[in-house]
Amino acid sequence: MLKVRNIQANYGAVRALHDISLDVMPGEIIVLLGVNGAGKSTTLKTISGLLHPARGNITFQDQPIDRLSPEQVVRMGIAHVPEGRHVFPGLTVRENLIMGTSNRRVTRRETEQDIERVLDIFPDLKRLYTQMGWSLSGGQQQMLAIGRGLMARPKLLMLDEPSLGLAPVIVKQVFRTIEDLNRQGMTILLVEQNVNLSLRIAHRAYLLETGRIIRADSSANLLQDSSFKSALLGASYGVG
Amino acid sequence: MLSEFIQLAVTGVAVGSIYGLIALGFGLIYTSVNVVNFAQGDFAMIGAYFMVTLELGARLPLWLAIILTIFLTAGCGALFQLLIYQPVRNRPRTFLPVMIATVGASTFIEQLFLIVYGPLPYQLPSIFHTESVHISGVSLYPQYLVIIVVTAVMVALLHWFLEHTKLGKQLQATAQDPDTARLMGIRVTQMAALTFAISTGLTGLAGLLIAPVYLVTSTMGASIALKAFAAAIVGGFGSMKGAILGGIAIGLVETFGATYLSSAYRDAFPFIFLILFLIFRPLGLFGEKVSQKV
Amino acid sequence: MIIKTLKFLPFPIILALVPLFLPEGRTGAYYQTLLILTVSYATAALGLTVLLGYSGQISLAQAAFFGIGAYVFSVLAVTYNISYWLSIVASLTVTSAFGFFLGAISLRLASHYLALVTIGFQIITQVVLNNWRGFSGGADGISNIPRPALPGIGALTDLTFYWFALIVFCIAAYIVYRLRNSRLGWALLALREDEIAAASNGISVFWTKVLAFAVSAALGGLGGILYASGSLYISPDVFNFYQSVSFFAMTLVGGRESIIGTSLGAGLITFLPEVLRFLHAYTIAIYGFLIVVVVLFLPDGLYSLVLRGAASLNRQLRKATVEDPLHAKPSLVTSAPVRPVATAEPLLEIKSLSKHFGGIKAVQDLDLTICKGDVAVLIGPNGSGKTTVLNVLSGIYSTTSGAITYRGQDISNLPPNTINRLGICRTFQNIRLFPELTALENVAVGYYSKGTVGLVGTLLSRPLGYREEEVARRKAQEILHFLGFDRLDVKAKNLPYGQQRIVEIARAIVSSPDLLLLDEPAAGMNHEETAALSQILYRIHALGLTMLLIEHDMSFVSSVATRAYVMDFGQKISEGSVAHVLRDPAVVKAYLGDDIAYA
Repeated sequence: MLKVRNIQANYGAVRALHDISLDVMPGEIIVLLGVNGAGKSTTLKTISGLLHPARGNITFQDQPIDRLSPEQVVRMGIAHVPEGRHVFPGLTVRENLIMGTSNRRVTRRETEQDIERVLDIFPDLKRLYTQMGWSLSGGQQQMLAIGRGLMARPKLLMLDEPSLGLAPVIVKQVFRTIEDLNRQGMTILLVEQNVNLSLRIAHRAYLLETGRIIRADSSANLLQDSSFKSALLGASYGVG
Repeated sequence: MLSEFIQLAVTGVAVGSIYGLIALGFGLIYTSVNVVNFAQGDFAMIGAYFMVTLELGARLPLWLAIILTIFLTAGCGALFQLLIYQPVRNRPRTFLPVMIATVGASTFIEQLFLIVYGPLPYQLPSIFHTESVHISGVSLYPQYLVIIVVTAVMVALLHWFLEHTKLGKQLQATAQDPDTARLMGIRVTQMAALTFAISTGLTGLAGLLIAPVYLVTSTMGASIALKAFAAAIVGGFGSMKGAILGGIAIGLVETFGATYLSSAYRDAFPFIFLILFLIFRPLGLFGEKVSQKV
Repeated sequence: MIIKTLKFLPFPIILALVPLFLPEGRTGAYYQTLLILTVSYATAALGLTVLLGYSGQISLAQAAFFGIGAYVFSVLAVTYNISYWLSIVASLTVTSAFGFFLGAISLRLASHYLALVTIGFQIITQVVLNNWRGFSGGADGISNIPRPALPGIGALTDLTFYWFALIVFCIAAYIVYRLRNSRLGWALLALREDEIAAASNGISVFWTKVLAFAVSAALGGLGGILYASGSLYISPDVFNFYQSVSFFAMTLVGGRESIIGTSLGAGLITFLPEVLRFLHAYTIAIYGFLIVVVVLFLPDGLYSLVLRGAASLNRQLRKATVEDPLHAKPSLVTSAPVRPVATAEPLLEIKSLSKHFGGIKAVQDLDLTICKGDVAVLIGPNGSGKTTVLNVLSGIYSTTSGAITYRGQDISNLPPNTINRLGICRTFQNIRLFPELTALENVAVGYYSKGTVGLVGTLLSRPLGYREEEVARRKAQEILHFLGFDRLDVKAKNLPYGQQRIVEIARAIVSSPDLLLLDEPAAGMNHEETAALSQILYRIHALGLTMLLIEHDMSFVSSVATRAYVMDFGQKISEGSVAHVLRDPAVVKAYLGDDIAYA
């Protein structure tokens, strides 16, 4: 579905990605793991068009997308829920959700139906429906951000650290939702720090280090491998 | 005495409404694309001159002339952002250069209209062709009433547009977080063009409304705009309510100051008021302190 | 300093010789007055070089200061018959006082407000000059303005006055040049580049800007005096908003950061109408157009073109081999220095600190004690509030509640520059160097808080000022060498990432602070660079500095830290030695997530 081939990307003068290649098949949950600064978020930004690769190419459903702007990429059916949630602080929950439909022409009825659907997934948002984005707690903002991403009716949903700054109970809830979405057929590309949980729901995982992919394997294999986890902690000590 | 006071108050509110309309346009551009547009006032002048051409030159019906003028001025605004803002939009640290470029553009636009229309001022007829109306001993200039009513209607319309339409919300979303707006599929370039168009369209309307009171000259916009800027500061940047109230405050200060204190210092009063205001309330009436994120 | 400036000598000499080549008769006399005009404009435009070029502030009121200077001088000299030189001094005092006042009331505002307030000031000045007949003579203006009588020369003619004005201009230019290269000048540039970083290096943002405003106003006034004395007559219509825009254009078109550029701009814009006379009606339109084009597409002005041309010519002539910047590697001594042992004496104590942003509780009830000699590390998953703690400590954020005690003194909610002066320095997660300053200048800014010579001392070229700058420079050099860095004169923006980190650390330690705060110093570094960095931190620790750092790279952390604190959701979940906290199940859970299966 999504093919990333040998991309290289720079942040100003800094080379953030050296050589990244990855594949996402329809119906999969793929997780990108790695320590801070490994290039996980940059990879997502390059796919969604916020950054353009200096070298390499990206295709989505066999169409090249590496030269497209984010506005065009989301029209192709890739929704990117950015790190740190980025809900629009001055818009209400409802308005934030409606913004999610900006990638296509929709009738009022479609919009209302989609909102219904998102509210079914995140019932908590119902109660906050008319509150401003800034007044929401971190977990509520995260649900809103994912819901807003779903409003685009994406074929591929990219989530950048959805567990960031959330309490463990909420994290579980978010992950359960991700799994549910996947069961309903959504393809998901996930960036996470929460290794255990994300490996539990993902089919496959890529491990990144300083802009390169150093390991690609099935989650089942990685879960067994304790040296892998300590590598993620970056410590020479064993963990746990 | 009282009748004079009411007369002055109406004049002040009307002139202030014009400042408020321009301040509104100014704030709209500032909040959505972070550009301080020193050429804002020139769009009032452009509106007035277009009205001269369409109403006096082409002899179009009044309503058609007004609508065409607003759209033409808005078009000029969209063109303006294409030339001034778009080329440098993605460069770092563009705030200062763009701001200074608008100062240069303002000089350029004024001279352009001076060359095209010549140095002689034009006089536009007022919308109702009567001199004044008398209501229980108070004589009022009808154009002022038109200004106040139209301003109120425009503010209501703009409020409806921004708060109750999807496009208005997309405009706000872009202003709040442009990158995320792009991820949603909102075309930010078009939003910028739309913002400039709405903002300059409003300003053009302000220009054609005030034109019958003043004369139409190439510099009329600059002097009005300076007071509109003062209004925007007094109101607090980016607040709709603030812009209008700030405009009215400036209009009243100017009108009363000129009558009761000294007509020679007429143009100084709004700014003296502004400076005093800033000493005591540095963030304006409704301004919020925005702290920089590290 | 003075010897260094001698290389600029050809410029004034050429300018002084210009009148000798003017044609005879009326045309020549006309050009002679234009030359005087240019010099007075250039002097005023120098004010904007300081304000706009150095400190990055906007003023559209330079013509107002130009006018105030001209009027105060003329009124004193003509109406009150006060001596020429005394009138000048009085006039300069008044203009800088106005500048100070305007700066003080408006600099609390962001730069866009500031520009508008200066326009307001410009208009008020204009209106007052037009209407206060008792002072300014109203629209009639003031005539019979004197020129100085110099011993042995007598009353000055147009030609000799031009030379006089040129000398005054050169003195002004020297003062500006001097300012640029002083401690204060570094501070101004630092402010322009990054206010937060400047404040964190001990620079008072507000007062430094106000000083720049006052200097700029005084230079405007000086230009006005030259103008009045040169043209012998003044009237209010010269000192309008458009003249302010014109001053602005001079500074920008020529090159806002360069004295020569500004002078060039002044000459160009004064003589441009003469050259474009055949286009008469279009002259001002072309002005406007020029400003737009230069600002948008040539942000460093025309003089930068000249410099670039000269540089490329120079390269071609010399065919100099350019050293590959990436291969200049820091040379580090590898022998492990002796590190001090942490004491039990608390240096910094944080008591139930909270910081909330809207609905988000970034830090909640945090207690933390750092003892003298510690290398404490704050770790925790992304978004756990670590950087917020550092920002509150260094004064960038205010606290929501709680107390921070440093050496027994409550420092919560003090401004960043005060905290810096108390001996707490920091680096930033995303590196906040001053990009247009050289590595050496960046580090010298870090020494700002140790200097004492203020504006007056700098302007009067007080010798102590030179000495302090020398010390700052030498200290900066020492520290950079100590950290194994030798590309002193490269602009920060041209340094590779890893070296920028080193320079930022050097800037933070050059003033020998007691507590050093480092926000993710190893972020984005590869293994080699990280290893070099831990060497550097050892050496800094050996100097006796206490450190608090935020870091993600655990192998790096375990090699440098003596004590670790772990945060999650804005709260402390564990503390102790690095090895200890990494075994703490709560920490493992925070990092890797719940290990318990969920259904």
